[in-house]
Amino acid sequence: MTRAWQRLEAHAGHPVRRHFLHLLAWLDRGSYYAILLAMGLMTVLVCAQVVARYLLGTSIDSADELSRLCFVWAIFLAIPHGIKSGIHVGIDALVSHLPAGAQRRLAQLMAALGVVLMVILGVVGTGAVIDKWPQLMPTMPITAAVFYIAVLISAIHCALHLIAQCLELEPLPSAPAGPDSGHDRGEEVRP
Amino acid sequence: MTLAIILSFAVLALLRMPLAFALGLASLVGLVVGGMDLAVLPQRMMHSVDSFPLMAIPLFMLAGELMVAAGILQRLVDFANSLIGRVHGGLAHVAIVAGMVLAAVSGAAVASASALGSSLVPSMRQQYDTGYSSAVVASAANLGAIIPPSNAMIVYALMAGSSVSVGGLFMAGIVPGLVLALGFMGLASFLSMRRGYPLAGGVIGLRHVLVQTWRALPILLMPIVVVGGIVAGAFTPTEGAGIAVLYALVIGFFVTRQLRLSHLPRAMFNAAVTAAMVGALIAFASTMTFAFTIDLVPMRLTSALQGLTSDPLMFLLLVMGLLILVGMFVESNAAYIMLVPLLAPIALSYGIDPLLFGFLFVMNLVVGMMTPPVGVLLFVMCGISNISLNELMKSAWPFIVFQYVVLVACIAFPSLVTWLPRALGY
Amino acid sequence: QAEDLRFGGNFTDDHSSSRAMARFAETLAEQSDGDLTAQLFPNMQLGGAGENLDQVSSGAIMGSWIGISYLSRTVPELEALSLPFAFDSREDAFALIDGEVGELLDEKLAEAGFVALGYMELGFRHVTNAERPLESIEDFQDLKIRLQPNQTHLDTFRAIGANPVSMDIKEVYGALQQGVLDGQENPYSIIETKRLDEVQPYLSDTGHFYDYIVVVANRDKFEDLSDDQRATLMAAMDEAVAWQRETAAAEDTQARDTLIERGMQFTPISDETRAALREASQSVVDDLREKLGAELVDKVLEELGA
Ligand code: NA
Ligand code: NA
Repeated sequence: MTRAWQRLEAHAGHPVRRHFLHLLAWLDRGSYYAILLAMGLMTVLVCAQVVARYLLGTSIDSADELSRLCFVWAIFLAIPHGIKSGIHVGIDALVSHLPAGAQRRLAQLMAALGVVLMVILGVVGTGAVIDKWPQLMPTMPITAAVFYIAVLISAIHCALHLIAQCLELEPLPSAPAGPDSGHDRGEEVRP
Repeated sequence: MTLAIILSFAVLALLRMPLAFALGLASLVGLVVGGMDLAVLPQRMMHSVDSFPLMAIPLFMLAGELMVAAGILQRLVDFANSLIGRVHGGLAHVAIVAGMVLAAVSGAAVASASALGSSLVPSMRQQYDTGYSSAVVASAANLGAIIPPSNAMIVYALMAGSSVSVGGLFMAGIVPGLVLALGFMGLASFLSMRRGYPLAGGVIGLRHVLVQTWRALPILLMPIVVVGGIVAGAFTPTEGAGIAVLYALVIGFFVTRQLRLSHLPRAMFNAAVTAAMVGALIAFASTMTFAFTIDLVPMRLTSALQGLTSDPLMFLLLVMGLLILVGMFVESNAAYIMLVPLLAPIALSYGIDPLLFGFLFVMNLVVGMMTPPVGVLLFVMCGISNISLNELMKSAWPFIVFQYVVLVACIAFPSLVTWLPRALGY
Repeated sequence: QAEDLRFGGNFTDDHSSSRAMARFAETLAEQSDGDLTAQLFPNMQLGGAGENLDQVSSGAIMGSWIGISYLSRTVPELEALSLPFAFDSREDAFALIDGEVGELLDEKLAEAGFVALGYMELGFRHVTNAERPLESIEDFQDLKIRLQPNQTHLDTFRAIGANPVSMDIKEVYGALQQGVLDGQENPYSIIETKRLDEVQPYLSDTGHFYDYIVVVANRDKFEDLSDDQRATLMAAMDEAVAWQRETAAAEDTQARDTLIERGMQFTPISDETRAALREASQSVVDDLREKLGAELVDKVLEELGA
């Protein structure tokens, strides 16, 4: 990602901050592909279940559970990308009357509080994963903790993006650059 | 515990923390104050999202993204234009009819608004003032959450438990949705004539209408396949959403031939991120609901309300008034998640038809998406049209008032809502 | 300072198990002079069964009353209670769970961090459907029947020729109404309270599985109680469990009669058909032998006299 490294110079002057953004860019990209995989598999499973029932007169035992697993992963992995694009709605009726400087400081403070939430969620989420580890999914010999792992990853990823907001760093886009990438959710400007 | 939650949520929300995180942090404060185990937070978050019915939301959103990428909107606009282009305020009618058809294939008003707004407002503002154009598009987009499929109804049914089915709520929305669409068109004609907007659009010709209808036919058939399939029992709403994705793929690749493989990642990613906004709200708000339940808030609220009035109509009007207020200030998904588990069981105990209550609840909050100060549709339209909220509101208020009038009509004549679902056996 | 124990459950308020828990709470408060009280959250107020179990496991709540199959994901040995067509009467079922097998399972539960406070009746599970009366094993052929997401249950129905579908219980009524499913299986009491008679004309007494409700508590939280408190709690629970077993048995018959009164066509399964069904599902028993060890499975079969 040397190209990304160069682009990062425009986003952060200090090398530590640049390393941080670099890490975040890698995470975003990995999470982007994982979301595509989860969404794709979920869609295929839901449709396959209908096809299996009508055309083949049968049913896939784990389709329900596996598609829910994909759904949970897609949602929790996508939450941090929403932070990045500012899609998570807030109420600015009061704040918009403040002077611009105060608004900026306040946004940083709220992001910092968000980091606190995500760190606590990460810690108790780790506990949930450990606690759930011995339990198996009903129709598959896989630990049921995989559901909680999505929450855990989401918490860590959200925390990193909120730290970026706190430091007023602008992360790179999640999706790889392409002819169509201009309208991605991941690239919308924060309102 | 309850007081700590409400206070910290109010403070955080007013300081513009994203609502989802404000809900999460406030719940966390509540858990600490109440001496509860913090493990509740990840448990509630995961289990509240781990739901098959909820999965319909990203799927319908994905179908919507694909339809836009497949270039169906132009065909819809051409179709609507061929039918009703040449009347007073022609383009406004086109927007409303296109919005109605789009509503029948997409689950979300916001998605409809951005699709309609970005494609129609540029040409509309050449004839009308921008505020009016945006107000019409926002109203047309609002049909998206009333005419099935509707993500709002999915969330409602999920929160209300087994007393209402998604399919039944879907059917409840059809008649009021048509009433709204016709009313919007009447209102647009009236306003256009009063403002002296010119006649526009080509002369209506039968041949032209037939050609455009033929071109739009695959899109017009989609709601029949998807919603019809759900009603006929071929599949559950979530499976119907999956079928909608398949259908959009087929249209995009083989009918309009504008969809390319390279569009798919973007559509899937956008659908996931948008659905995750709802998901995050549900995940964090359900922790709050848990804390309230442990604190016996629903029980106390029920007895307080029942002490206030024993008349079902009075109760319904109280709730509707409350929801208008809530709709002004609170994002609608957050409102469903916080209020439906509290109010739906109470409505049931008053003997109010659960489908009627559910529909009125949804419609009230859907109108709330276009009431200031917090109205997501207003924000979307302000963004697309680049106008101020004040300017938009000058043209939007008659449409908002009209929607509340229809809401009142549904309370006065409940069969508007319940007739169709009952006739279909829900 | 009074200790308030929170219990969550997914059964409705009026289910015999929820009423038994209310009795338990009342007795507990009385016997302990208010030193120990139980606060109940039935009807999925704190989330579904899977979530209640997570809450007990982490200690977020004291306990839950819950269908035993949810615990078999943590304690696989509990699957030995899911032997198809093996239970002849509820007396056999209680003797089994109150005896040596029950003790063995209690140990396994303790290893997983749970205490079983008592076993109530969920009941024999019976098939309803919208296609035909179930008279012979052939009548099960290709019926789309909703089952709980449990491999043993799904395998059993596949073995007898049906087409099992695993689906969330929240979607079942709608799916039956709209014909996405042909049938489902549940105890009479659940069929009655969920008003499935409105969408299912045919009722049978397949009794293919016997289901228990276990009142399960977090082991650490339970051990934190004093000896006195534990004794009071167990006495109150024993009384409630005994009451529930009696009540559930009476209500089971009553629920069946109500369903017939409401117009469902009831077709009892003949001895030959039952034998054929048991024969056809033998492979499931063999699979369980392999999975859980022949010793446990054979012990269960022996105690059931099957
Ligand atoms: Na819609
Ligand atoms: Na509003």
